[in-house]
Amino acid sequence: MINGGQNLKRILIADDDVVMKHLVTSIARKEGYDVVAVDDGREAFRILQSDANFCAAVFDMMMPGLEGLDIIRYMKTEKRLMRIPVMMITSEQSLELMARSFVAGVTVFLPKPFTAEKLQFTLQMLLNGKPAAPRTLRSS
Amino acid sequence: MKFVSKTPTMIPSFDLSVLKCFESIQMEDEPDIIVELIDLYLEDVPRRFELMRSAISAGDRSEVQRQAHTVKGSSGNLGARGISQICDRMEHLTPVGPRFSMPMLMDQLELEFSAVSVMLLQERARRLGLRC
Repeated sequence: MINGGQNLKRILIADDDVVMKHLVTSIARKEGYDVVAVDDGREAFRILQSDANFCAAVFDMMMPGLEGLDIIRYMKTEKRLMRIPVMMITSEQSLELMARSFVAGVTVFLPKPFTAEKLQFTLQMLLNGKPAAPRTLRSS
Repeated sequence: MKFVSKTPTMIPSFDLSVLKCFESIQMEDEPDIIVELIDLYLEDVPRRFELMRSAISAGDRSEVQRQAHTVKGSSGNLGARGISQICDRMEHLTPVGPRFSMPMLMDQLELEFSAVSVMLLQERARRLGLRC
């Protein structure tokens, strides 16, 4: 399947910070999504050039090479990619930056620091309130 | 309005409860998520400190700020608020009239990281002990 269908549960995550990438990946997997995680914007760009099979994308705002906003601007020029909602994670609190990001095509913002619950909620919001089936949790 | 501390005083540096909130994403039959996060953090941050030291020596302000921005994000998310605040100062330090220089803040940052590392390693050992 090249273009995303209703049951698509695949998310692209790009973050150059290994800690944040692992955190976001773990939370998305717990929410039942398959994750493609990459280290920077260039790698995300490379993947998106040949693969549009994602139900959502999560980008860090500041990455070396291509920043989150650069990738979103590219996505908005490609018909096969423009349907993918994008969450931007950032520790910047600038209203001007947020405004520019929404104009570029960001769907939702998640400010750092965040809790697991906040990210889970934002992911669900990104996907129109349709959380994927959660995977089995460790019993306490 | 953004709060900016006017003094470099050490603040309570680490809130373990912030890190522990990620226990909720632990999945069955997978390694302890908290231990994984601790290991990644303790491996990644010193590498970034090296880059920051080199950039300070080279006068590469933007690289210092970029690395400080990244460390700020991960530290804040794991509860290392002291480190996060020092990084925030470094990220927003202006070239004109800084009250604290980059090398001084870098020293403070590494001192703070040493203290946080001890607490993280204690938590790591405790968790691995519990799981043995």
